[in-house]
Amino acid sequence: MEIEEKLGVFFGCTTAGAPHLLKGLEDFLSKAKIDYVPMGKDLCCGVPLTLAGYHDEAAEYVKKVADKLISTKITKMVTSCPHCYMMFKREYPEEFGIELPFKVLHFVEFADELLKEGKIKLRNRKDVRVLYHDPCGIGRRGPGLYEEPRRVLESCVQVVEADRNRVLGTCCGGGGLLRASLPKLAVAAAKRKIQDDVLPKGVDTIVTSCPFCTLNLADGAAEIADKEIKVFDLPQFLAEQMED
Amino acid sequence: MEASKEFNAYKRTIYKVLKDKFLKTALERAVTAFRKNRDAALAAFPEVVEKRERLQEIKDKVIDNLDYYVGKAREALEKNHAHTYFASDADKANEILKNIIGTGKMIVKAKSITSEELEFNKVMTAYGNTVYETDLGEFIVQLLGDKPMHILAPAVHVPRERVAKIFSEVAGREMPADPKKLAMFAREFLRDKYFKADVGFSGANFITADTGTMFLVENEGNIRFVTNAPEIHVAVIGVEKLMPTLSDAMLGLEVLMRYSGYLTTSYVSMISCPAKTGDIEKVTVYGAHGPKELHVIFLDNGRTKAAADPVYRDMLRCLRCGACMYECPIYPLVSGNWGYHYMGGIGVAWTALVSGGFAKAAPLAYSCALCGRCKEICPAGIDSSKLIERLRKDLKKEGLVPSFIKEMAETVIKEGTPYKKKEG
Repeated sequence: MEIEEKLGVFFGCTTAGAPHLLKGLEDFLSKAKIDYVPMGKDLCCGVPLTLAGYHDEAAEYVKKVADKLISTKITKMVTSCPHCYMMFKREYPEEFGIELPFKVLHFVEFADELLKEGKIKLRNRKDVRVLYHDPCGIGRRGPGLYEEPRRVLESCVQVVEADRNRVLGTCCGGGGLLRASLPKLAVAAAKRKIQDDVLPKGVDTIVTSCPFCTLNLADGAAEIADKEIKVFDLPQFLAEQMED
Repeated sequence: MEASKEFNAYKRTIYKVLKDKFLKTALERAVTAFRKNRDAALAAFPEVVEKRERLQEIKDKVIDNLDYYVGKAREALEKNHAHTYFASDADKANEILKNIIGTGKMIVKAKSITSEELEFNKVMTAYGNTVYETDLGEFIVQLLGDKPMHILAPAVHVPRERVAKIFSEVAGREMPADPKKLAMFAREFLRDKYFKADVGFSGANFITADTGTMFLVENEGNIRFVTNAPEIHVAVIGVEKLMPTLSDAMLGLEVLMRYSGYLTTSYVSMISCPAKTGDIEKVTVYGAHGPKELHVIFLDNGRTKAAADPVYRDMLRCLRCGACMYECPIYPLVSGNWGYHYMGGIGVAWTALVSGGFAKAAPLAYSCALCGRCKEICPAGIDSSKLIERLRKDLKKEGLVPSFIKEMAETVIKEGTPYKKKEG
């Protein structure tokens, strides 16, 4: 007998805290007619604790989070935040010994699956050129989810690569708590990245798959006076390419 | 409280540096040039990528047996009429140096980041000696009373106009902001110092355990003078620089050169003992043309302790090629201001474990975006992000967490989110 799939979408506190990112993901899910249990809008996965070195406190904290997640009886979870994703996928089992009884997917994997199964329809806008920014969290510091987001984007727009991409992609500066510790340094890194990677390509749109990258790159873009650069999180960008 | 004060002072420095247009220009030039050179060197010698894996294995073997290799190298050196010493920390090394060098002496010095651990210039000057940095970058930094901002290019942060200004003061005449003319001035100024100096001081890039041969890699030619012209050559070498054999060191040399962005460097000096001759009736006389005495001090200063730790031990593989710094999204924005004696991401671990201590490392530990690109390019495969994540755990245990981190963590624990909840 097949167990019925019950999907949970873990928004994560950073996406939930940024209205445009939250709306982007919700719009995507509703346009794709996905049935899901919303979670993590008010619940942090615990990554700030592990990044801050609060290991013992994190161990205690993530147990409570895991209990809450397990009680929902979901069979599959999707999150658009690489931090949440890597916490559930790697840190919970490997660092804290908690096996979650459901499959964890990052949004890029989920969108790639939906596309393959023909469950989402994206407008063909091959005249639009976007540069894809690889978040470190699902890239070199994670399982290397480089092709999934590109496949999805290429199905609707033209993807432009930075000279250094995928495993050698340049970080936006938004991770590792840097946006909390030295926000101006984090934003300076984003600005530099845009100047080095994006402007020479003549592209004015960046798409990425991480709320931290999206926010940090947008802050960096705002510091470039002579050109307007738009930055989108993948769910947000895809939602705009979908028929209502 | 103390941790937060330190952090705030550091934050002020970093924010000030971000506004420095000179630094920005200098660093942009340096990063672009370095990456181009490094890519060209790797493309010309693609087998080096495979060689680096072998190097990592060799390095690991040494890190697991530091005492053994120090003993073997000392034995080889002593047999060759060199004097050897073991210094457990920087203070001990300075005591040994004072005994060897004495006071009222002139010292010419090769670039050595290990000497920064000892604060060599400060200590030796206070002891009544005169120290001349001879590496052009270090010479500039010394004249400016500044600190080195990159391990290969210490004056990476100083634009030519500022070099011209300080050289003009030393020369007593107007110097143009022309790199060629400025380099020639340093050449003339330092030329006679090598021969007047009592002591030549250096570090080493590698030292072999089987023959006690130190490898010194350079382009300027100053190290050849420093280690050859004065009667006494003193070297301070971190124990992690040991390589089991000569051929291991050759492998290391090749990897180091390529990842530093060189097809080859101008010079590599290999020094195993004082200069000697047996040309008159096979009677060995020391100090033929080179130094009469060679003193080699092996410096521990926290390295053995780091070697015993399953995470931190990887930092000892570092060859100091500097590749990671040019790959980092953060370092090129702030240079060595993100650092103490050692800088950048790898420098945070070196500060904590070797030179500075946890308190000095604490403010630096939260400047890394943990992106991990340094690991991809590091010839030694060091994952600095992992070292920093580990250090953050230790800083928590030591009570050295800055207040903003503490507040954020407490908010997560209490509210289930790092972001403070809005009322209503």
